[in-house]
Amino acid sequence: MAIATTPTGPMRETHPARGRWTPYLFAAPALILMFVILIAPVFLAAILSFTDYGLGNQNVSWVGTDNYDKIFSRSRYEKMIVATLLYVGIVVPISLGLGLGAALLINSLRWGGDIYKTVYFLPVMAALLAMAIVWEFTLHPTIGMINDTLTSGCEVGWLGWLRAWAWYDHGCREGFPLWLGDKRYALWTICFIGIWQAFGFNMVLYLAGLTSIPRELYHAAEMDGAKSAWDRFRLVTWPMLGPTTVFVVTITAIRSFQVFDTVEAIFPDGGGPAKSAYVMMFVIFEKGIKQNLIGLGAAITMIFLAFVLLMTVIQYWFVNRRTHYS
Amino acid sequence: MSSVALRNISKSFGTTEVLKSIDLTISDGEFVSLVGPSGCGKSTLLRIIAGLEPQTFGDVFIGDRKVNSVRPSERDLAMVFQSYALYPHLSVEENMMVPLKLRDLNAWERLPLLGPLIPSRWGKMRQIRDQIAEAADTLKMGDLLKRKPGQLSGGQRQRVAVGRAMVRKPVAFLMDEPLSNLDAALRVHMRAEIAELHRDLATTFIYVTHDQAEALTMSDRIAVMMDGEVLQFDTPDDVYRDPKDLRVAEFIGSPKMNMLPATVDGNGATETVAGYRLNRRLDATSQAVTVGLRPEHLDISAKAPNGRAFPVTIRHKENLGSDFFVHARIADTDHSLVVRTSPETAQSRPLQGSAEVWSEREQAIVFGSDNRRIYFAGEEA
Repeated sequence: MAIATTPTGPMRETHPARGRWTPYLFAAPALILMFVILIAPVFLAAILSFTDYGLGNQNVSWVGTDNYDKIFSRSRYEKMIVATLLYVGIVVPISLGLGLGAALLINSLRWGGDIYKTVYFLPVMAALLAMAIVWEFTLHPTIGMINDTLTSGCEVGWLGWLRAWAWYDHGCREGFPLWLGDKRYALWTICFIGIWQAFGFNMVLYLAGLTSIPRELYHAAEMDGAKSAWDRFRLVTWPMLGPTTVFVVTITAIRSFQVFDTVEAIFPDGGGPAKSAYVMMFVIFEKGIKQNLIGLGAAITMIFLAFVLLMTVIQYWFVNRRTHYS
Repeated sequence: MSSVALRNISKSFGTTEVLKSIDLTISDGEFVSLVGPSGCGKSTLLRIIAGLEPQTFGDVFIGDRKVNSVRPSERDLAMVFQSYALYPHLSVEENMMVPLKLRDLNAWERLPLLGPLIPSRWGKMRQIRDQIAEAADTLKMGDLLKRKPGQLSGGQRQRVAVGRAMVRKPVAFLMDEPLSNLDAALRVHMRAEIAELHRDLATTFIYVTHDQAEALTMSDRIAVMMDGEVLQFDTPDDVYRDPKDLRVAEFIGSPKMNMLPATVDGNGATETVAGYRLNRRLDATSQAVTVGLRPEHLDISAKAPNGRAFPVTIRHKENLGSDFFVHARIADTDHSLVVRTSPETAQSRPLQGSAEVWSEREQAIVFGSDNRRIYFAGEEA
């Protein structure tokens, strides 16, 4: 101990200030970078959201809450909120369920799991913009593969029972949906592409979560009389995947709030039929960049940020309160 | 309560045979330990009894019922795991409720959210709570019921694992090294508690351990296992005093039994290292054997009173408070002896000094080259 204190002792006496500020000096580069890159832009955007600023605009004026008033009063922004929340509300639970299901099935395989993992993970690795164009072709009302396949089933004798399904029968007689061109189907189709793209990622997260469950817990459950797979799932798998689920929900929700590529690729001018797929990120891009209404774009960004922040707070609360058991 | 019988059990993982044709009959209410070094197949055998591992060959009987194709959950056994395997998201009380809920409530009554609304569940839950309270009383852990396993010490977790196993009143308890994660003092304490629990419940216990002290102190009978075989299945006394196999003699007893090579002449007289001759005739002739001498049957002094002794050099002394273990090298050989002696005797002999090791009532145990026991002439086999 004596050896350790001797060198610092005299230094303290001769340079009292240096000692006190040293920790801050070490932290300063990180703090400055964090402020310049992350915190300052958010503050700037917050200030801009109360102005009518546009790029190259010489006289900027303070407009108070005008931008926010617009957002909360005009119907196109109401549609934006509805479309965004619907997208998140559909993509998150379904991609979570499919991801978990696929992970459980792959985990139960003796061999061949790697093939399925690769196949399901491919959409995650592919660029969504390119995939959106492929889906646009596939879903094309007249030359697309989907409607071709559906139509070819109408006249096949042994598939006659399908005609009992009212929706299918209607499609055979009146033509199948326009999918991306129909306001009743557009958002759902976008959701479908989002799920197709996201669930492979959730599957990989769940596979990692599954490997960390101790085998002995399953044996204990079996000895305690958990006979059915459902009992074991309820008693061991689902609770032990709690931390993974919180993470999956947060990541998928934030990524779903950020949906942009598909909407921009398929509906480059206006967010789909009757603005049914007018999602937030697209609106920020449309207002802030394309139409140079940066003040308005910043206001929408603030609302977007509030949603993401809310998600993070909920996740933080859950992680601390519910899912970590030790 | 039930007996457990194993008939000709074999188990192979690929080409490695881990259990070789095991036969074992455990009576109703008996406390049996499976003891052996790690890798001897004792845990595998326990898991075969539980049904968590299928045997390659042979039959398992619980009572009169052949359970080869019966699932673990339907064998009515309870198991305490080495890691305790408590459900970390459930409180102690909920952990203990799991086996009762799974047995007494039907699938509807167990449903989340909806289940608690079904009236038939209420009465059953009251009974379950009573049973938990009773088990918690027996194990003196009433004040822990609301805690999560993460908030408990190792000893408390072990107790909860035992509690979860006993609430269902199974026909037999299986324990897989339940004390190996505890510190030494707690292990000794829990040893007594488990033995007491066995007396109270009077149920069959099958206990796997690599610690011979646990096996000797708690069991009615011990099955000593090595290399996938049961070498001896006897009471603790018999396993200690009358080992049937060299490997049993070496494994049971601490410190280990001293083993010395020896030769038997045509008359059954046995001479071991340093010209030491056993004072009794063997029931065998003209072969190489191994002579075993327990440390506590040996004595050390400057000069042996009876003239028959090993001349030794003292190499090392271990102080255990009540006793000393003296490690001595037999003069002009590579063989060592460990002698258990009183502190006074040990302290009177300096390190590196010469002395003589002798035995007042010679209790040698002799094994043939096939590891089998060879008895003295006239001794009961």
